[in-house]
Amino acid sequence: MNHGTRTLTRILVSFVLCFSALRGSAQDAKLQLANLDKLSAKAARVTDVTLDGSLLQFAVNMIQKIDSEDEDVAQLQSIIKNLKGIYIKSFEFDEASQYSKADVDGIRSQLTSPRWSKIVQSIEKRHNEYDEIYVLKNGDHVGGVVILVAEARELTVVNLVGEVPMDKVASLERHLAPGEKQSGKNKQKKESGHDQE
Amino acid sequence: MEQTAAFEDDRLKLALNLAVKGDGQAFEDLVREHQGMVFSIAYHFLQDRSLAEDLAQEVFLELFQTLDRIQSPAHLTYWLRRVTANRCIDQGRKKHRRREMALEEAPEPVASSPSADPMLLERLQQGLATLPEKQRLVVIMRFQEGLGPAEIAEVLEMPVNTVKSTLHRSLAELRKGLARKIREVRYAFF
Amino acid sequence: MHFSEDDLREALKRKDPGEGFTQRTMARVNQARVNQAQAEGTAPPATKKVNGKFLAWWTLRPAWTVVVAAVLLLACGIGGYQYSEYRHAEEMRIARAKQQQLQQEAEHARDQAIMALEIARAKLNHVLQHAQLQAEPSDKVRRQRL
Repeated sequence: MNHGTRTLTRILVSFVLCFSALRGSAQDAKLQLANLDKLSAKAARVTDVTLDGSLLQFAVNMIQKIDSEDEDVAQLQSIIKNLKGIYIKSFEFDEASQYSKADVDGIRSQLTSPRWSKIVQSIEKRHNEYDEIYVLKNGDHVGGVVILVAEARELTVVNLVGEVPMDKVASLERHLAPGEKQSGKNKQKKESGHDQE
Repeated sequence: MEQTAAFEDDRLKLALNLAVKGDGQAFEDLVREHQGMVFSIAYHFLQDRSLAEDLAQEVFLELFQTLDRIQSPAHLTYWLRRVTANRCIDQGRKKHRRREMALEEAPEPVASSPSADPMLLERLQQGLATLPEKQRLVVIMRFQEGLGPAEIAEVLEMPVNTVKSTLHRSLAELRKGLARKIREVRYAFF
Repeated sequence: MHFSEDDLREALKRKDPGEGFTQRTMARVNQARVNQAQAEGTAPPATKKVNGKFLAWWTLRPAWTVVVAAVLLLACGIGGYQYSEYRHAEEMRIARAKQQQLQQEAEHARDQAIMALEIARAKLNHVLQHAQLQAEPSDKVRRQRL
């Protein structure tokens, strides 16, 4: 990680440390993303993840049982143990302008309550890129995170519900591939749902 | 894409299996998954939020009592739609609601996209309430649930051709009703 | 008045039943479960009508009654034991199959969770790096001026 990214990560860590107890309704932290489903027809690559309730609990239990001294595994375990839901909608298009401003505004309109804070924003109008990170404050804690990537050929919404340690998510190493329990194996990982095609 | 759809299906299959075995959390997951669909069918049919919530709860209660008959997530969706539709018809017959709704009784405003006309959407909902029960359900299944005529025929136990002609007739009635409303509003003001 | 099919879809968009619907529904379900259990618990036992003549024959031949009863008891005992062994083996088999299925589902869920967090990591760093790149040019200009 370069100096600048580390600085920004420290800013995020300070937000996490400032808001330190998890209270409040998990429902507020969960966005309604179903209005984006219509983009699947136009997308070249779609990733759709919904993990909550009993299924997320299964995943948490399995991950907690991994017996390893690897730091990455420990980080993964500490990230996931307090999560209540993981929701991802990611669409990659072959051409630009395949989604409308209204599609993105439909997401942003759910983030207008005073409990949501936009902590990072990156705008590059020339390339039509609008990237944002929001956190939900629950008293002293972070109760949810939304990462919104709206670019010319990509629209991604990542919604994490629960107590999210942002610094650990940012520094999670890439080589912790699914199904592997040991560290040290560098494996190419795809970000789509096409892993088993 | 196929993998995520298959994963979603596996997740629901697992929740269903666990719910049949008596897992309360799994049944709650199923309720959460489908409550939007069931409530919306009832709400758009009855145009009354508290009646729609009661009806939706009764559907899930009936589901709980007959869970062992559900064979798959797809069967569950079909079952929920069919039972909700039947209960809507029963409820509708009790109330004998087939009248024009005054503006004061209009349902809550639709959270619409910026391009849609909120007044138009409200009028459409009002117009829907004036359709006979089966016609209303056909329109709801088509435009809320996105079902094709064959699927609607299966859920509502009607012949496919009847579904098609009912849909055609319903849209014509809605257009006529809306035109009449606009004329009434014009006469009121001018 | 003209409206499009999209207008109808918009008017008939699915609505959220609101906060607390799930909890209220589960409260009704749980109440129904309790009521059902209570109803089953207090169900009166079935009464049997006894044929007077049939009973008379048995009461006049107590030895036979005892022998037949003993044979029946033995048969029931042996049959019952075998049946319970079979049931036990069957339940074990079903439990093992269910355990295996749950294990597979849990591993699948674990893999999905790891993939999801990897995507979160990638996007988080993507946004941070973009924000950093935007900040850097003004830093460079400031340094040049100094």
